[in-house]
Amino acid sequence: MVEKRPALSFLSHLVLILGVLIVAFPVYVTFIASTQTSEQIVQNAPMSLTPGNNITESYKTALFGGTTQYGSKVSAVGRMLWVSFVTAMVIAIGKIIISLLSAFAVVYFRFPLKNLIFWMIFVTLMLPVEVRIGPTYEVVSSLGMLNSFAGLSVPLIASATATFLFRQFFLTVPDELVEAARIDGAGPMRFFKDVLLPLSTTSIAALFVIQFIYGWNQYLWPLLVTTHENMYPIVMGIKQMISGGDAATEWNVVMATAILAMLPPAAVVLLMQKWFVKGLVDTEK
Amino acid sequence: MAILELKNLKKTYGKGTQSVAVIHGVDMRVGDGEFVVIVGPSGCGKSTLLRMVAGLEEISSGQVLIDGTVVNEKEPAERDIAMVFQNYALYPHMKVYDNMAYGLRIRGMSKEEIDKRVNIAADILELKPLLERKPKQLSGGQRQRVAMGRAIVREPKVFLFDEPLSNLDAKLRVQMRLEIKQLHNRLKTTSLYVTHDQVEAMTLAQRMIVMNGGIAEQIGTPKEVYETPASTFVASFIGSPPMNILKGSLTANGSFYTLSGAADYALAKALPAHAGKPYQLGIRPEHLRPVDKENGSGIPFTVSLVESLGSDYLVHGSCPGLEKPQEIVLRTTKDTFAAGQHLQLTADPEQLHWFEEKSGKRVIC
Repeated sequence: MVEKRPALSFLSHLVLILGVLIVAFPVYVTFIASTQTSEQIVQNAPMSLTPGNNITESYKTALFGGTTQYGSKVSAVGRMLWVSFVTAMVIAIGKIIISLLSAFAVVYFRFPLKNLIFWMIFVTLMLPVEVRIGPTYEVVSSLGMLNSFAGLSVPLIASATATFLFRQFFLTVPDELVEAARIDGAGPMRFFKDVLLPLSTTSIAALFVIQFIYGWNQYLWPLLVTTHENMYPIVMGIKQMISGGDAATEWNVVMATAILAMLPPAAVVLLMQKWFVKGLVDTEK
Repeated sequence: MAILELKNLKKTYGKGTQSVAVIHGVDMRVGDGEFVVIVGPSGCGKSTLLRMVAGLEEISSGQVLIDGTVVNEKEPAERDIAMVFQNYALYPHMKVYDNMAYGLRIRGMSKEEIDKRVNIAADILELKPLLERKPKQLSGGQRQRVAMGRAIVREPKVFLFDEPLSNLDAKLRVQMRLEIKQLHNRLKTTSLYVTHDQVEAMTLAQRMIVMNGGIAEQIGTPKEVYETPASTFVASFIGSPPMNILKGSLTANGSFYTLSGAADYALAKALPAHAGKPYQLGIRPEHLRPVDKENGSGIPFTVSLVESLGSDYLVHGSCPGLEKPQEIVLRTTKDTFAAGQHLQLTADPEQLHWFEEKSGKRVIC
């Protein structure tokens, strides 16, 4: 559609701008709320949409914890960010390593029951974490992995989606490349390291972004396996801050925490954007 | 430098009753420094044969010997061969230099030695200015040269080429064909070359194997194969346009050839020993020429179409009055033919090829 009609381009821009507003407005409100004091948020209904002057105070309290002017204790978000970051990194990198190796095995090796094994991996695609959450919890707690980084990340590492994606990618790599490598004397692992890995970089980058965000956004699983505050990931931390009942919720601190929670995934997307798009679109071989 | 021998080489896919034989036993000896071309239509098993030599395909039975050593059980890398693939199979993420050096690095060769060998190969193939580029930034012909460079640096005993020119355009193909020939003249490495293009086969080969349905129909020099084809298959596969094959039989006294149901063709040299035999008669288009009507009976011919190739003319037509229409092509330098014209054709006795009716095998007359 390469048409030059003012009315059409106005309409399309209108739709786009509306879309951006709908997505961006809640983020804006969150940011504004984090710059005001909690009285300003509660007393002015609806709250004002211009930045307040409490920004340093809110973020200091959120990051390092402490007591607010109402006397409610807020735990430090710094630690939560660290827990979330480590968990998401371990999940993303672990998933990529395991999926790469299993896809490599499924595509390039002949072994008994190969198809059955591939289908078993594939079938787990249909089972989300929530379905197997009971037995998984049992296993993790029996192994004494509650309240640990291992407990937070290991059960989420296996990934049928990523295995499937890499399998599809490996299938598009021409057979002659394998044969050329065999004639050059490269063994299977050498071929994997020297040829397949460099060719997969863009897919790896795309998957890393997706899986990092997946790991970062985990809520239900951490809720089950962590009981100590120092092992809470940030997504859970936000929920903990919103106290129910009579206690006052420090909305400015909650919103500051939310903004802090959004930054790392946004940074990952921004930094890897070029690779990410390439990985999803590119078919260069 | 090596001698490559194939001994009763067979390939079957599948097991038991379901098995399909693709190669039915090929015997061949490629001498030291010889350039042998395997040619045949697609699906005749020529690539499979090459891949068995390379070690990329398992050998069902028979032996492959390089310099007298059976290599059946050896990995491709241990056979001391190098292969050039149809789609080049260059490592897309490596520079030209690294593509050529990769195999040497795996063998643990020293940096200086690798550098020396790559530079020599790059000089031969005029790849010097391209060493720092990636395959993506090269043209088809350049990629092909890199693929050959990768083979040369290994200094193998045997070069294997799997239809290396079929991805190139017609002009480049002719040029690369010459380059391969010059390269072989210079390096004198034993080479086995697979192609479906008979022109490539004729021009490159010192000896050629014509394959059909998993069988080596004929092994010989291009001249032998062209002048004395072993079967009607070889006769019609090699040569463009293909040899005319006529169906009929020799008369009782062996001095005439009766085209099925129509005219008799008076043979200049009678063949009494084969009298009455239902042979097929093959004549190359360039050997056919018109006879004067009074001078005796030739093969009746009605011109339907004349094609000009610039230097030559291809005269298409058929033999009238037959039960089944018999297409005949005549290649001539004379521009004296026109559609609808009736002629009598003949050829010198030594230019006639006789084949058995059923098997299509050559009969020596």
